[in-house]
Amino acid sequence: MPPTIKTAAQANLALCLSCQKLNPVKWSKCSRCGEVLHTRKINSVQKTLAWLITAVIFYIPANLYPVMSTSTLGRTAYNTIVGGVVELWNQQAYFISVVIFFASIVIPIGKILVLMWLCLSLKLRIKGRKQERMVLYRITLWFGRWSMIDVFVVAILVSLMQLGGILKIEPGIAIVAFAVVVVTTMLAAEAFDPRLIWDQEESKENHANTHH
Amino acid sequence: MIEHLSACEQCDLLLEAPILNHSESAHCPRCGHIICQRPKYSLQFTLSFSIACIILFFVANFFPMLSVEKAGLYNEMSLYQAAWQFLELGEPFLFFLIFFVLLLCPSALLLALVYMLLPMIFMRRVMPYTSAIGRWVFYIKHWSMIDVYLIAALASLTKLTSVANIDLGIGLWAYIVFTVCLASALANLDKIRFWRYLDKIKCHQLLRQQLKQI
Repeated sequence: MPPTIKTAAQANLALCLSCQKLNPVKWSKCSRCGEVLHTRKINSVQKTLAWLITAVIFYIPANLYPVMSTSTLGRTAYNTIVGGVVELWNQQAYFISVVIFFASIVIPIGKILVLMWLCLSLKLRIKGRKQERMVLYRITLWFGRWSMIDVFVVAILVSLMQLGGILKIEPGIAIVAFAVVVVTTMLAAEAFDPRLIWDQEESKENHANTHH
Repeated sequence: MIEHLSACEQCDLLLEAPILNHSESAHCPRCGHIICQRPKYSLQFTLSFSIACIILFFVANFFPMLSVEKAGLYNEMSLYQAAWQFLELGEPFLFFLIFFVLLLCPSALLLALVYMLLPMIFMRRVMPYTSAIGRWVFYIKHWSMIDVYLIAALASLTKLTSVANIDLGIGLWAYIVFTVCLASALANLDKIRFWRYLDKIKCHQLLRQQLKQI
């Protein structure tokens, strides 16, 4: 194997992302599991950005409208995400307050910013800090599902707190929007292809090799 | 040649396929991604934990998880009601999402694992459609949010106990054990090891058929 070949793509091989078998590039399907083969995920950056923009749009109503309404003895109170976090903190329910703060504010915003930065860094052809970008990508991929906590907390409250006129909790429109944010950011992270980060260096090295 | 090669899933570095001993794992030298893991009992563990999970899943669904009591009024919920309540309140999207990540995804995952692994391990046989099902298992693995729901339940408990009388039911204990079992089953399910094992069993099956013909 010549030393200039470092990646599977340069060796005209495509890795099957479903069963990890290397196949020749010209094959359209994986010889082991039958998955459609691509050297890189198709239109990875465009798809990621499209999901992210959807997430940003839905994150606005998710914060403006109430996530749930609590009716106690005829009085109805509406809670938004931020309002709920502040209220829980004031009621000394610190644990759940911090959990919801992270799940519904820190993680979604962090994910959107990180993925946008990763897409931007590919467009700007930034070559440095690959290791750091990979760490960010892996954190986003791993933490994505934990945003769902907020939706689940509402689900538990809604299905448990149905006590007629005394205490009744109903879901608000914002929790639907927030659920869309969680799903779209997860899809965005899945659409992103981290191998593109490493391709930058390869093209530079190839360029250097042709000059030698 | 191609059989001895492998590539990193996250940076596409071409590598020699790692050969691992028990409880070892191989990392990519360039990006640090875990290429392959070999736990001690791998697929046998996955199978036994999956079977335990299926039993616990029924218990968690048919027995109440939490019950609430305030001023003489009483209400209880089990696992599936978390999704069902949304349908009754006219939120079909939330119903479908929660139904998918909490009920459909984990149960499909477990049934698929038992369907594929039981004949493979005990009878050295490959069931029809194993490749297609195996592909789907690794896709939807990420979307089963059983562990997330547990943390959400524990977090809301800390708040609920101050509002009303909350009782923990058998369903909740079954659910906690279910979460641990599912995590163990999936932790022992390595993608590369699974597909290599499948290749091996396919070879066994082929050899047996050829021997019969002689």
